[in-house]
Amino acid sequence: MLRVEGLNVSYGPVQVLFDVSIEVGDGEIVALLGTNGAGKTTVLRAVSGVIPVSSGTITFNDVDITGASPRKIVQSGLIQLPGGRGVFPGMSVRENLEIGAHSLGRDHARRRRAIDAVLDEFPDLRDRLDQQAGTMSGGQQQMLSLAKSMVVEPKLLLIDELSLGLAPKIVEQLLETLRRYVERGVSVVVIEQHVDLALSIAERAYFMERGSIRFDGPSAELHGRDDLLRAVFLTSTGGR
Amino acid sequence: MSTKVIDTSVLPKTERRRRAPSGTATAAAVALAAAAIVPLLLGDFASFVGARIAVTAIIGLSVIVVTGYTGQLSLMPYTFVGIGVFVAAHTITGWGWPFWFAAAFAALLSVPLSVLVGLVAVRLRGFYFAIATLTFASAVGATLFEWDAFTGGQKGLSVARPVVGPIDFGGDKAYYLLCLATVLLLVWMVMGLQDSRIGRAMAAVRENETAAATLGVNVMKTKLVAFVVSGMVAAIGGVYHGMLLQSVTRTPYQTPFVEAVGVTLVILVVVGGMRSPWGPFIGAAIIYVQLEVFRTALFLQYFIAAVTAVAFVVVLLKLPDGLVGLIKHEAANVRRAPRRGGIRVAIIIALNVAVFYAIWRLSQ
Amino acid sequence: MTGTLAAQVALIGLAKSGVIAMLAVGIVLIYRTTGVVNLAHWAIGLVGVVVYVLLTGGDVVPPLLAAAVGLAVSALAGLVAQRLVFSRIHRSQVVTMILVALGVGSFFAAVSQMLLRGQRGEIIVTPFLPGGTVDVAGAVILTSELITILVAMATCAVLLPWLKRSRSGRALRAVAQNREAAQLAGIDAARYAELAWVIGSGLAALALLLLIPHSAGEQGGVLSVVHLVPLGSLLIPAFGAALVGGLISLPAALAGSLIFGLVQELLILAPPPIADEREVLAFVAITVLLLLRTERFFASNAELEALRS
Repeated sequence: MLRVEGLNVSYGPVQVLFDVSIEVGDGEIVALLGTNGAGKTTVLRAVSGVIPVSSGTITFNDVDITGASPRKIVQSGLIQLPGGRGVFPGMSVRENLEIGAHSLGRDHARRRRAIDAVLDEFPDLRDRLDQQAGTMSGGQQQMLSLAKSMVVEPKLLLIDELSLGLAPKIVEQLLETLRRYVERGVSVVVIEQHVDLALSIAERAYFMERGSIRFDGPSAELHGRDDLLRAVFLTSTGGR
Repeated sequence: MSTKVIDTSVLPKTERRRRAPSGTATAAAVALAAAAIVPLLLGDFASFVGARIAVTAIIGLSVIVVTGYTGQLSLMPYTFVGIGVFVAAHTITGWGWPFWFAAAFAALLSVPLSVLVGLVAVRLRGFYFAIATLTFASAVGATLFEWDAFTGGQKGLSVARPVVGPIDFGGDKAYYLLCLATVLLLVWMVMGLQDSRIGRAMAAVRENETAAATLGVNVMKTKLVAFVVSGMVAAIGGVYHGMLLQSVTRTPYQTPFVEAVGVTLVILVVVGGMRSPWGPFIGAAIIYVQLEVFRTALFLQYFIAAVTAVAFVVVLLKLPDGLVGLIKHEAANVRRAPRRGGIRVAIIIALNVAVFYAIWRLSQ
Repeated sequence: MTGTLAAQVALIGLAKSGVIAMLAVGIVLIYRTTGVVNLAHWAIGLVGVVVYVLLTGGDVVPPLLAAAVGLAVSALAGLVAQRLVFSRIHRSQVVTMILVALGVGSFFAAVSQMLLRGQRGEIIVTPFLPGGTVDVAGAVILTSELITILVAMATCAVLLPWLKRSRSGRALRAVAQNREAAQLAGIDAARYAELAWVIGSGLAALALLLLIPHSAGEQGGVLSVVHLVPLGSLLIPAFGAALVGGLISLPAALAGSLIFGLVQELLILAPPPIADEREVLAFVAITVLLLLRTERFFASNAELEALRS
């Protein structure tokens, strides 16, 4: 479904990604792990088209999307959940969902149907349609962020930090929703600080360090690689 | 009271001035001699233009200190110039003071205002600093410069050029030499400022305020000093500006935003080179020579203004050190490969002269 | 009849507020979507006014059409400025950004004067608004002032609901709040930044065009090029009004416009020392607003950080 080959990215004179290659199959969950500043988020941003690529190719469903505009990429069914604050805090829940439906075009009825369909999956949000997103709890905001991304029925979802700062119970709720979508054939790439969580949901994992892929393979195999995981655990245990 | 000791070794170093290579020294001497002699040979009018360039360069030095060195944009240089202008009118013409005493007095008088504005402005960053200076400039324009006793009302005031012992600076040629000497002195002093401890603190503030603060730089004090020094330089420039014009009215100093001169000053400083005290001199020379040569064609004046504005934006985006940077770059090329570099420079100069001449012919 | 006098002054102040509001709305829109503090605002509006003056000079083009063309030219100037210049500056270089705005302003000011070449002296500017006065419940004001009030109100009545409810308005706000998150939702951020410039610049031209009859009235119906330039002096209260909302909140900027326009006119009725120093009071008010760092009240720290980086 997604094939990234030999991706190089620079911020000004500083190169931050070196020959990164990633592959994601249909209906697959892939974890992207690594130390802080390893370049995980940069990979997602490059794939989404919000930062320029120096070299390499990105193919999505056999279409070359390297250097395409974020708008084109979203329209082709590839959506990224922004890291951190993914919602628009000054807007209501309904408006946030409308923003999610932006790329469906000017047809008001079509946007409304798409939003209604998503609200069926996220019933909690239906009661809060007029609440300001910024006044909701972190978990609810992340729920909204996910819902907002699902309005356009993406085929591939890129998630930057699903569990960041959320209670395990809420994370479990989010994962349940996510699994429902995966069962319907949506593929997912997820960045996670919480390694155990990532490896429990993903079939395959990539491990990054200083802008390069250091490992890729089945999640179970990565579990045995203490040499790689130590670095991550050292940074992530601090927050737990 | 304890003074905080700053470990200056951790501050960003300004380029240590190395002993200039002999070729550069010769070139500088030739340029200086040419600057002193050429306008005199061309006559009174050229000397007047030369004096205007030198005076503008003095005023431009105030922009160098606050914007070039410290990274804050002040939109009120012409308010301080106005203070200098009217102080000159009163003290030199009215009270018969010697001009250098008037200049010192004007510099002194600017301090209360710059401290008052500075105390507000240094608490603000970036755009807010600029808007605060703009607001104060408008407020001074609506109060101090509305005071007829100070500015002479609609009619304005006259300013006499000085006579020092046997030398009469009344003529344009003599006055030009006086301005040239003054601007060289001030360039030298502003250069010294850059290499001083406070100069390095200014550079640190310009690069990154937060980082400067962690290095022990007192950010507010540094900005305040820069602002006060810049006000003094502008006021001194104002005294010379008054003597240059010989008759002055308040309007140009009252409407800082609308008055295009305020912006033109920043433009010529940036085009010349914001980080070097020579920048205003070069910028003023290029812009005023053009404006004077094409004085008869009004259309061309505005055309030049438009082209200069484009050049200004291009310099801001592509050439942070302006023409001074460009000249240094080409000079380095010439030193490295005398023949190729020399030809390159010759072509650049020839092209410029050709375009200049073509426009001049067309405008006649 | 002090009551009628007060009402009359209030209406005149309201007309001024309307002009300030149209300028302030443009400043806020442009700042929020692109981070540019647009010191070129008046010059871009001025281009449109000059086009209007040139078109009406020959008595061929009907004034209203000329005004529409002028407005369009200003909008185009804003679009060009954003596409060619401002979209290339990184947001963190604040001083460069202000300087560039000054440079762009000085470019358009020079272009305006170039367009007016050969018309150095005084030009008779044909008003596109009807002359005369109207009686509003006993208060007599210029018809053009009444129209200015109505146009400003209509502008708000169209613009605010459009921003609030339409798909494009929402997208514009999304870009303003979080550019990258908006892009990830498939919104073409660059296009909406350009849209903000087009709207803001068009409004600047509209505001300055509405000022023409007023300035012309003061000059006995004859305007010279010199009289066109000070049209920009209202930009300072406009920045003041925008600062009431921290350059971020449109409703607060509108409230600020009301205060700056209305209070300044009403103070005419105050005792002499206050009435004479109205302008200075406005500057003091702006300085206080700056020191209050009003942007804190309208945006979270995270949003402010996003605006700056």
